[in-house]
This record gives sequence, structure tokens and C-alpha cells, in this order.
Amino acid sequence: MPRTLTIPLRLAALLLAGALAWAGEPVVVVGADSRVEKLTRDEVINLFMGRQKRLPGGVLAVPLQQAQPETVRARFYQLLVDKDLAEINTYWARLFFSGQAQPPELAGSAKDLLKRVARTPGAVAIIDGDAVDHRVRVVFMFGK
Amino acid sequence: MPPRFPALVALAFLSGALSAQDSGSRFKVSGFGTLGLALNSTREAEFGRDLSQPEGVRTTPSFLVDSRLGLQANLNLTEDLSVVGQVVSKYRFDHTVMPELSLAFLSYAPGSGLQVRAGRVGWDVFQLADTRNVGYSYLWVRPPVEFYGPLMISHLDGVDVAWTSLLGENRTLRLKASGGWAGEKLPLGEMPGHLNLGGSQVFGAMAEYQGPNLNFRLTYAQVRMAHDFPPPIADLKQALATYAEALDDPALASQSRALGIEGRIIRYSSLGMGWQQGPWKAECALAQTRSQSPLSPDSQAGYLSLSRKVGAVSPYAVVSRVTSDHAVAYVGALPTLGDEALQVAQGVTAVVGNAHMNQTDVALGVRWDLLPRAALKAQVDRIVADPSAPFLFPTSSSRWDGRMTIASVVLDFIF
Repeated sequence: MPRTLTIPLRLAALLLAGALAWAGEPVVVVGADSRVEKLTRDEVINLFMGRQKRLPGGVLAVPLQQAQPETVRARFYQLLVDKDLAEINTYWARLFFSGQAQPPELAGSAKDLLKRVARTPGAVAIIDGDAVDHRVRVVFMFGK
Repeated sequence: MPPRFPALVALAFLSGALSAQDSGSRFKVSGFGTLGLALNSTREAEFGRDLSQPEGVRTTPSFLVDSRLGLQANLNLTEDLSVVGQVVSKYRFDHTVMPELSLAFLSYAPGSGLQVRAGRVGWDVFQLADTRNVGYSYLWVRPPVEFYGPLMISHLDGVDVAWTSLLGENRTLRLKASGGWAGEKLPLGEMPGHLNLGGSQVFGAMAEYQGPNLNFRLTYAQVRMAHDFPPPIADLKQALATYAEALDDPALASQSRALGIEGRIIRYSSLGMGWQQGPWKAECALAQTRSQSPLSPDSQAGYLSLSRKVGAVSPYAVVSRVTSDHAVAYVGALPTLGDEALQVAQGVTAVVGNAHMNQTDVALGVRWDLLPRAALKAQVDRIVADPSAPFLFPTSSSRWDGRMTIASVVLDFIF
């Protein structure tokens, strides 16, 4: 039955290829039971730069970001808007202390973040692609 | 009378804070601060950051020009409603660092790009006007003094409505209108008393485009002054009116009226632009102020800033300039009418003459982002001013040649 074997094999290869595509790079995830399947680059920018409050579908977004190690966030913003963390903090200092918007919350390590995402409706989070597990769904990755 | 918005918001805030004690992420306290030291090369004129400071720095280094501390509390009441309160302690009109409520508003943001805020809100008449206190949020040691220094108001009690449209590809258009009443007080150089801005009606509108590399901003705002200057300017005004009647001199009567500012409208318009490409960053702005009073003369101001980021270090250069129309006081026959009339004539001439600005500042500096939430900056300013136009240096002496060099070091942080 070589045909029935190849389908799971192909699937496994696809999954592996997908996993490799985000390995080591930051990705954006939502809870596994979220209705959001995919976010565009524009939506990710708007959600994490304080311009959009709701996820596609209308649920209030709760943007979260992996705090440790800092390199995950640093790499994410470099790829997303070509800014380093100091520039991102400066950007938010202006918006936040003028009372316009609130920055994404920092949520400890990847492990802490996965717990938060799983139990927070509307959570959308920046996380190290290597840490992704069954509790979350990748809705945005770079270069894809 | 302006309504007591801040008091209402403070009450809502307190009751909300009490009921929200159990949910950590709904309530958040943050802050910002600057520890700064400035030094001036001349003892003949004081350098201040803006008109709110009653005294500036001479040749003895001063912490008062740039040091500040701000605390902010955010409370999210529902998905769409939140409350923000902010107090800032800095050197102010009465020579103290008494904390002042700089923000206290209720915000309604239903998520469609609309935000309505009611209470005490920031006055963002120019690009950085509502975050002038947050040193960490900008490149320089302080926003260019020639451009931001003459601004009298930092917040208003009222309402603002902003609408943000997402244009795609990291581009946004933001429109905003605000209206309310001012509430601050301004020192008057070496003269006693202060100008009370409380109750002055403020209105403004703004359009801002933000793209990945370019941003533009167009603003208009106006302030209708609620109060006149206190004595001695009020006394001079009264004396001029008395002489005008006695001498039957309508020009003198008109000069007397010109010393009054109550009911007069000051109009501000500005165009700002920012550009960023890789490590390079440029920012420039032009502003025009039109008033109906020679004591707040019509002026033009602008600045251009250029910087390049090299790792965590950003060297920068900024040039700023302000000029104002040069009104000359009319004193008619007063100087020939004896000592008392001569004194009034001299007083009026000095008050009108001191309201002028004509100066250029060339500054070089460096910002070092030494920690993710702290930046160390050093800056040297060379200011060349017309010494007969000392509006921004109200405590200068007649011996000043109009030149000064300012050296500053600040540590800006957020927490």
C-alpha cells in the first residue's frame, strides 16, 4: 500500500518544512481555539504598533510579547518595521505618555507566554518560533 | 467657567481603581523622568527651557532647567473605556517643583479608529508639544527652544476627538480636533506676579500622515486669552489710558489698549515633517503665530534636525530659529511731561520691546541608548540672539551681547 503511506509521509515532510521555516525566527501566534487563521503583515504592524485594537472577526486583541530572551522581540521588530528595541521603546513612550495607546504587554519566557495565550481570549503574541506547541497556532511568520 | 473635568475624572479613576484591585493587568502605574544638568557661558542672561520657568541657568550649573519626574496610572474600565492620570514635577512658575496634574481623562476607543477623550488632555499644537516632558521619547536634550519655548500651554481641560484611518502598507492618516480651557500660569521674567491662563478658550485641529519612511503633520490652534496681565503691566495700561484722556491722544489710548491681552486670540499654525531611511533620520517643522497683541508678537519659527544611528549611539545636529515682528511702543508726549510720565513711557517701551524674539540656535549632540529604557544625552547649543529681542531670556541684562553657549547632559528614563 505505498500510496497510503506516501500521504502521511508527504504531510510529515510538509509539516517539517513548515516547522523549519519558522525555526529560530520570531512568529505571531494566537490560541489554538482562536478563530483567527492568518494575519497579514499589515495587520501585525497595526496590532503591535498600537493602531488596531481588534482582531479580524472583531474580538478585542490582547497583544503580548515574549520578554525573555530579549533577542526574540529585537529580531521581530527589526524584521517587521526595521527598528531596534530602543526605537520601539521611544515610539511607545511618545504614544503611551501622551495617553494615546498602550504598548503590548511583556509576558516573561516563552513558557509563561504560551500559558497566557492559551487562557487569554483575543491573545496575539510574538514568540520564538522554536517554542511553538499545540496550545497555539502560528498566524504570521516572516518571509512567507 | 470651565467645567471641573479633572475632578470628575479623578473621582471615576479612584472608584475604578478600588473596584479593580483584583485584576493586575487592568491597572498599571508607569513613569518617566530626566536628570539633567545645564551650564551657560554667560552671566548676563539666563537660559530657560520654556516660558514656564521663572529662572534659567547662568554660569553656575543647574539641575532645574531639564530635570523632571512624571508618574502615570492607566486603568482599563471596559474594552472601550479607560482612564489615564499623570502628574509631573518640574521647575515651575512659582519657583517650586510642586507636582501638577498634566493628564486626567476618560478615554472611549471603540476600536474603529475613533478615540474620544474628556478631561485634562495634552495640547499637541506642534509635533512634540504633548510629550515635551518625556525626554526619553525624543532625540535631543530638549525640544528646540526657539520652536517649543514660546508655547504657553501644555494641557487643556475639555474634549478631543481623534480618528485614525489605516491606509495599508504601514501608512495611517490621523485627524484630530480638540476644544476646552487652559489652566496654567506663566511667570513674567523679573516682574512680580504671573499671567493667568486659566479659563482661556482653546481650540485646535490636526491632520497627520504616517508612512514607513515619511510623516507629515499640519496643525492649527487658537487660544482666546481670559485674563489681562497683572501689575505692573496693568498699572502701565491704566496710566497710559489716563494720560491719553488728559492729552486727548487717540494713539496713546490705542497703545494702552494694546497692553491688554484679555479677549485677544492667539493663532498657531504649523507644518511638520519627518523622514527616516535606515540609520538616517531627519525632522523639520515650521510654525507661525499670529496674535492681536504686541505683548505676544507675531512670530515665525522653524527647525531642522538630522541624525544618524550608529549602533546604540545617535549623533545629531539641529538648527532652530525664531523671529518676531518688531512693534515699537508709542508714548507720544509723555517723556516731556515730567518724571512720572517719563517713567510710564520708559516702562511701556521696555515691556513692548522685551516681547520680541530674534535668535538662532545651532546644536550638536549625541544620544546614547545605554539601556533599553534609559538614554544618556549630551548637547552643546550655540545661541546667537538679538539682545534687544529677549522674550525667551526675560531676565537678561543690558550688558548681554546676545551670545551664549549652553552645555547640557541629561539621563532620560522610563519605567
